[in-house]
Amino acid sequence: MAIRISRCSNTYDARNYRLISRYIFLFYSDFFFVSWILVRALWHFHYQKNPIPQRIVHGTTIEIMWTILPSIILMFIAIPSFALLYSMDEVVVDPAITIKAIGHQWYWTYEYSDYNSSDEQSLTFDSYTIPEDDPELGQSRLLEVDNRVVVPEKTHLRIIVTPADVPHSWAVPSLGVKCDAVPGRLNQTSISVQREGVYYGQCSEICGTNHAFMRAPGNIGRLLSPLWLSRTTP
Amino acid sequence: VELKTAPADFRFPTTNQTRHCFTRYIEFHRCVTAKGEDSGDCDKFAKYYRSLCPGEWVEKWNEQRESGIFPGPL
Repeated sequence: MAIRISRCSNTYDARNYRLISRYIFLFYSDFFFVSWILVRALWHFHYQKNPIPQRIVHGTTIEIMWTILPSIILMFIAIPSFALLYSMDEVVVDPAITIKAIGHQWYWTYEYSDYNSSDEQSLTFDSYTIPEDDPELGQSRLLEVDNRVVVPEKTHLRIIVTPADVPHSWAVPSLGVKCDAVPGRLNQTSISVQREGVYYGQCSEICGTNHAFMRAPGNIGRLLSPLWLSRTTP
Repeated sequence: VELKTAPADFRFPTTNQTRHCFTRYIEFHRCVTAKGEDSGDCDKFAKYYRSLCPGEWVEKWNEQRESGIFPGPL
């Protein structure tokens, strides 16, 4: 059985960019070095210019050097890389709202239960994709849902993703979020949306016949000020 | 309107929050066993597990507790 490490990713991370640009010089210098060696070899081993090529077979020192040196370089790349990988999971500021996205075949259920006074009272709703024949004028085909997730902007949100049946994945590319929904596991992802608007996404893990028609977040719609909560708090 | 939810718990810093939800649920029930159902001290834990755990999981665990087959250290 294959073991899959399910991850949530946030792509819009300034730290990722700095890590890559720190090593881009190494990538390019490596490329030019290899190309130069290739050109030199082709030139000097040309059958007319050099019919009896000199064959160098040994060179212990250089062989040791070109094994040890790349491993040291890799170690220097790996250390900040691991630090970044683990620090990406850290949540520095406590979230303000927790939203649970529960995947079913083939729709999402959203639960907002921060203000329950008992086990039964969550604000819960299902979010089905609007079928092809039904959209109103101006709506995008197969992208809209009947009930959107509504969240306030500029608020630190914790999204907990889990499925009720098979693996799904909750993805909103415009927010840089993709989080796998694995049965029996609660995956947490943090987002903070800076701008009001409607954001679309789709299910990113094959989950059956209608996987292609399952719109992940539905849309994270209409980001409003926290006043919206007063209409939803029981 | 003040927005409040279960805080980030340093015992569960990673993406997988399953254990976090389970621990909060157990903490609530242990608090209720220790301090009684009407004590206000346990409300905090109740809010935390309700925020984190899906409703279906909570229902299932409640049923398991009632039948005495809950697999946790209550």
